[in-house]
Amino acid sequence: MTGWEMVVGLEVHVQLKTRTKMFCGCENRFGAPPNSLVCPVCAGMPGSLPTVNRKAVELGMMTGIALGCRIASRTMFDRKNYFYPDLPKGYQISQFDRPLASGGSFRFPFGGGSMEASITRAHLEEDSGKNVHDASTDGSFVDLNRAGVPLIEIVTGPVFRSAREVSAYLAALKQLLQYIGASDCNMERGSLRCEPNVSVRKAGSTSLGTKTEIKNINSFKSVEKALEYEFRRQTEALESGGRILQQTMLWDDVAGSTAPMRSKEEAHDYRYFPEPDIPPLEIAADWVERVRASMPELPDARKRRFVESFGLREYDAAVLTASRDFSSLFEECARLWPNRRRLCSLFITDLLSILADEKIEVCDSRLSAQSVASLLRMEEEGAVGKNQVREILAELAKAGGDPPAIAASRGMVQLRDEDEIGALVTKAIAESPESVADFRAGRGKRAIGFLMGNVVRAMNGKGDPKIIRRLLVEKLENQSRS
Amino acid sequence: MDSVRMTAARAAGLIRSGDLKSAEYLDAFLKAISDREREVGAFLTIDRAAAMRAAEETDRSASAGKARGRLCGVPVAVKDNICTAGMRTTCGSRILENFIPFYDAHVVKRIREEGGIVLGKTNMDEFAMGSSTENSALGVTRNPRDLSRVPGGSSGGSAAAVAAGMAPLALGSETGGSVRQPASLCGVVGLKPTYGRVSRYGLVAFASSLDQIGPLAACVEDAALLLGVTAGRDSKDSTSSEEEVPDYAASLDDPICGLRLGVPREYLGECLKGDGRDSFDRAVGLFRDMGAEIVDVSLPHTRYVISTYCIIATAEASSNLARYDGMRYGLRTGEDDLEDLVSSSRTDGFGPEVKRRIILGTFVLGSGYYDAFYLKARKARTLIREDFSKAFGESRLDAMLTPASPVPAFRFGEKAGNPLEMYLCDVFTAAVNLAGNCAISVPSFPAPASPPLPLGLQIIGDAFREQVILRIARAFEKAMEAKS
Repeated sequence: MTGWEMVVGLEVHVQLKTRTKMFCGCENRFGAPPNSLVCPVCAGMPGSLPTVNRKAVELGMMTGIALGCRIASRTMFDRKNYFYPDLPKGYQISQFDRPLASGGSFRFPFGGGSMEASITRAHLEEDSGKNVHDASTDGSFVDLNRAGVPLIEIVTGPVFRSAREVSAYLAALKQLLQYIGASDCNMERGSLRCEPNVSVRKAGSTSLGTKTEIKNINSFKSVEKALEYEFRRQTEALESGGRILQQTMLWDDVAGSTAPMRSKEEAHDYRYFPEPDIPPLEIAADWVERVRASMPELPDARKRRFVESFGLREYDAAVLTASRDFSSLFEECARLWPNRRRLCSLFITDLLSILADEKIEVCDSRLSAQSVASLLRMEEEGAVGKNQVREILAELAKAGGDPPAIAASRGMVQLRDEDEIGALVTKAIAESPESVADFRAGRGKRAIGFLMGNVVRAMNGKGDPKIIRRLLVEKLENQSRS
Repeated sequence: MDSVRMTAARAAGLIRSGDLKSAEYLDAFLKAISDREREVGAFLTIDRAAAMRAAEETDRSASAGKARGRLCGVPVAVKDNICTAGMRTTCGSRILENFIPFYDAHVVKRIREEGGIVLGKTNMDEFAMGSSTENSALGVTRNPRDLSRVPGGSSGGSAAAVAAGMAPLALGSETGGSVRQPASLCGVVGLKPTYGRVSRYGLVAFASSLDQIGPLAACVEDAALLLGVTAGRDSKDSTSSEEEVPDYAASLDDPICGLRLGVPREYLGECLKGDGRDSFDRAVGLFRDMGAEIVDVSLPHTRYVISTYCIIATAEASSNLARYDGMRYGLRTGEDDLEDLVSSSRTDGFGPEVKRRIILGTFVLGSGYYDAFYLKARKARTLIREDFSKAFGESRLDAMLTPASPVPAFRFGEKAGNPLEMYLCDVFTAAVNLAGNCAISVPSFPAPASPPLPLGLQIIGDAFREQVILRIARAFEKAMEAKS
């Protein structure tokens, strides 16, 4: 299928991380028992009225600012009318022609360089509840805990030409929104939902083909798969002389394919009109400035700062700043531990894979800067070796605790038997005459470093480095004298 | 003491000081209910026992010197579209026939905080859609002045309860005249506050940008009392105003000599004939006698009022009534599938007038019709609003005088077959809802009949100038008393 080009624009819905819902005082929290976070307003009881959550507006403003958008000086809410059991009022409060933010652009890393996505608009709205189908009773239920959770919908222009570009954009968007604290962007939990508009055209063409919208993509991994599938489906249809219908496709993760939504379900006339229960929101310039001033450091700025003030390599700084929590923890540790090189390798080589293996989010881990520093101090003093450092670090991430206590409880006692260590030291020196030559030639540091490594390895990291070093120096000096 | 004829303001003071028992005062109204409710049918729900318990509790507080509140021990009838915790709130509809809210509307909370007692819930046109209370799915309300006639609507139950002496005070709600018109037809005082003056939290929405809760009472002083209790900012209603609430009683008896009162010439056209015209002319004459300056003014967009009102009110209603889908509360019929459940619940639950308006409202918002209807109506609304602000501003008016309704109470069924004619009952009142300012209907010269049929005079004020129209209404009321 060469000669065809994919064109994608994205609508991304992100749940904003507020304490309370968009239009009422109910808690905004995932995972509570069904219908336990509900009040007359979010349940759409007769007579209830919405009031705007100021914090949600501010997070929306931050999002807009971070995406280079203009913040409207006057923004309005509108009603989007349709019937569905998970929509308690029979309409969703959204924004139609006066969105909070518009006209932005967002530069994100892609393929060693970077690319830019135009942001058409970002607007606020409320989430719906959830329909729950219970197979055991064959019953359908509605859980309204999610109803009224604040959402921001971020819409790009048709700027993406491949599924990989879309993935890169989503990863960068997620990073950005996590940094500014707007959302935790957890696709599996539905706090980030992505609905691509996909069309194809002949390479070189400048006009746009007929697009389809893909819904029901539930993980970052599925995004590329769904796009590739839909691209193939459309090009095959066109190549075999068919045409593309403008319709909504549902992604089936198990089957790995898309299928059209029943046309009845999408034949909506939403009858948008201005929400009479909420007066237009005037956003004074100084409010925007206050929000801008209160914005946390963005990922790019933090990366640059890590390079400049910690002397890290560009690549390492990028890895460390991939997530805000991870980089914040690094920064706290760096304040307590001056050897940034070692800290950097501990974070990148050990901690990242521990978190991935154990499926722990940094914010959920029990790590503290104090415990990491204490661990590195033990290492420096020779109380533990590198493998043990990693083992203790994993324990700290999972359960927290005090590194010396963990070491003691796990019997990580350093071997201090000088006869045993002495024998290995003698053996190592005998096996490496060039080290002895180095030592004699005044390159002691290099010789000791090399021999230390061999002895430590021979002892599986369990030998006390201080004793090994002392014995090495003693024996090398003896040999040089003789 | 004749409790029923004493003002509620006075009664509250006497109950606070222990000079009148709340239980005794309440009993006078319960007696009136026993005597007249069967024929009038003002109420959908009455909780005598709960009201009596509250009254006795008030009396105990009073004897301990602890009774408080501007409505201390005074019963209030509440229109059945205003939520009352633990007391069913039906909106006169089958679809909410058994709906019991677990929260009080802001106004109900305020009434209770000021020592008032919720006596019961009054009948109304279904979802406040109508001008005769004939659209209630749950009962018939008759005009206490002439039982063969309608009480007006949609707050017909509240107006009838006050007119029949079954409650000293009542709350109604307005969208296009639903307090003033039944007040006019029943011969009581009814006030539509400025949009935003009274919180709508807990008022079941009909048309959110027009709805406003207003007091009905036998006299101006009591209407002022209930307005004062219910008015003010409520953080739960974003459209409620921060504007300070004045002491309405304080300036009630100030003279009105020299006030400039406009008479909009467009209101004196062909829709005002016969008895209605005579009554209005005499009322204007009375104001001249009192030394007010009568000024001819123009509200040039008046002829667009009814169509503008119909489009905006039905558009908002079509959305506001979408929540009655049989899912969470209210009537549920049909279980075959989702669509059956929703459509059959709504088909069985809503009456014909409500359906008519939902269909009309859905149509005017539909793609392809939005610009021609809804958008144009919003523009017309702006022009209508500007008519008022120009009249008050350029003509330096203190208020305007118009009839509250073109005709006195009509007979049952007289207009029920012709929705358009029924909509024209709102011709003098709906403009004020569109413009958002305030107006009061106060009993004026009745239409000659046997018995005479009440007619109201409407006094329209600028936004948040309720104290001005109350003062003018009070002066008119006193002048009328002096006449009789």
